[in-house]
Amino acid sequence: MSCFTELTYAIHADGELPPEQTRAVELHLTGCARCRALLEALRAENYLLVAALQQTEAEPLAAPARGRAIFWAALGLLGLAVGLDAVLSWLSETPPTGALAWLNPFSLAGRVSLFFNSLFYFFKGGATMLLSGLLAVSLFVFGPLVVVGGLHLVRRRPRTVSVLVSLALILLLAVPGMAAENRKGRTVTVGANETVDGTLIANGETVIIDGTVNGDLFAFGRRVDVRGTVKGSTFVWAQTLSVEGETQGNLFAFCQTMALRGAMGGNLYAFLQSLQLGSSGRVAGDVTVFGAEANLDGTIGRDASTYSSATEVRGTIGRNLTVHTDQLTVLGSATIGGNVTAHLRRQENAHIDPGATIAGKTETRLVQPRKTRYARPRFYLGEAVSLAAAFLTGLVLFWLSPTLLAGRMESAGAFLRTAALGFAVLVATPVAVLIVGITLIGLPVALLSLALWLAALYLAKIFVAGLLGQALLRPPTGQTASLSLALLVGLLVVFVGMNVPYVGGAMKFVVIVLGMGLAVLQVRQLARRPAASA
Amino acid sequence: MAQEERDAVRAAIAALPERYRVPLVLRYYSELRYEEIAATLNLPRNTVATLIFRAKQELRRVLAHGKEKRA
Repeated sequence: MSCFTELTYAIHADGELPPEQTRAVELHLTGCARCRALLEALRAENYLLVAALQQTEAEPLAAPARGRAIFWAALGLLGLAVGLDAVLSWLSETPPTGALAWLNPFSLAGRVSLFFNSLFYFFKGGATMLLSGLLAVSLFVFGPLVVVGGLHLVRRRPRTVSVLVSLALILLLAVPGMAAENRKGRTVTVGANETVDGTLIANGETVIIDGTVNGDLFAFGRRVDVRGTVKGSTFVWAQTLSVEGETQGNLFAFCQTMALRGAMGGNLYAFLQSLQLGSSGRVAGDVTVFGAEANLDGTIGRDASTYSSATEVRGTIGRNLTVHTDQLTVLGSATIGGNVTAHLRRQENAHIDPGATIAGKTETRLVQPRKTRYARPRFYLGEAVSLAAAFLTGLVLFWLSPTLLAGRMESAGAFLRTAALGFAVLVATPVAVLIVGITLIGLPVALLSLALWLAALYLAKIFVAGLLGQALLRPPTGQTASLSLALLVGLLVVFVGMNVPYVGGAMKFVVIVLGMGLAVLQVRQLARRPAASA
Repeated sequence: MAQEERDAVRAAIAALPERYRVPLVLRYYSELRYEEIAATLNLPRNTVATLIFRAKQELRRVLAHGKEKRA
């Protein structure tokens, strides 16, 4: 079979040969390298013509076929997640019998119990390992972003960066150094006759404070025992916390169980599984508890608020008692100096002994279990309206200035760089606005920048949607897809992605960061070529 | 594609005689198929194919010549 004419190959490159001829040509091509090369050259020429005639700078992002398959799979998972959320929500509505509450993962008590148990099971080495793990993860995620964004800035605007760095250094150096004593070990002890002047950071399996800490106490461990005195505030992350001594400031506790039999001068803020305020325990200020179980036997000076599964009050509360709980029990020995307000699911869950002394009103507010927002049609309507608005805005924007849509991201590196730029802009702009605005002369500039920043925040979705839509809809012949369709598809994906039940928040962040970066890049393109037109 | 290159190509296209330029632009800018171009211009399909082919040949000549001039 001899070679065909160049004209034939040209028509073939355009995809316009009739089927029988196409077959014949392709058959010939399998055996003829020279003609294959010719065809390649003709195709390249076509591409050049398209690129020259059409406005876009280069090939828009092309989504490989496998990427598209993953996208549809993700969509399926999304449906699953929404369904799961709905089921969980329905299940949490049906309250189990009291004792089983601990095991039921769908009730608050069960969930908190599960959470704490798994937390301390996996991190037997102490809570500090968890903290450093969290710290490590966030550094790992945000560190590169910040670094890359910083590098990008340095490359483009060395002068701005040196100003920013000097500012940052001044701020950092101005912060007074924290003089804190740091003690680590399996068992950290402050002896009975010992006094720690200043802040103490105690980090160990067991922390025992028998003596006095004149400053604040930061205690991390499996077991923390405060038998002595802490004059400042106390921050505890432990499995078991016991306070038999005295903490004069506020106590912030994050633990599994807490037993308070001593005295507290300030307020108690606790996030835990079980709180026991013993009869000899006294808290001079407020008590705010998030947890599974709260037993208040002792004395609370001011208000008590609990968000828990079960609350039992036996002792004295100086002012009001407010509970958001499954079960409230107020025994006859209880004395409450103010009102009792209970937010419960059912009236019967509040057992208030008539013998109890309540100075104020007793009010029970019934609380409907929160229906997952996915079950409500209003949610979908709201999102649809939002999407329509974004679509119209995008259409107008891109019709007015097609250059804005011409973004390109050739690689994962470009993707990361754009995201880093967006993150930097996202974070730096409000700070810059504040700094500039404080000098009243700069107020108009600051306000203008703020307005632009807010606009960019809104438009971020649209930029990402435009790019995404083009990538998804791009037919393999290498031409750009219709603007409105690409925008619509992109917006649909973005909106759906941002509303996915558990990951939605993260998606929103990614979209905003990416969109900001794109917006900045594209606006810069626009500014560079004011006279560019078809 | 560098802006300079794009401008050169566009200038070359603009310089083409109309009977070559129109089918070329209809094909690579408006992305019409040969069939549609033939209907629009009231020409046979094969003629359209040939015109586009000739247009590209002419472009190659003009652009090569232009490069020589610049070199």
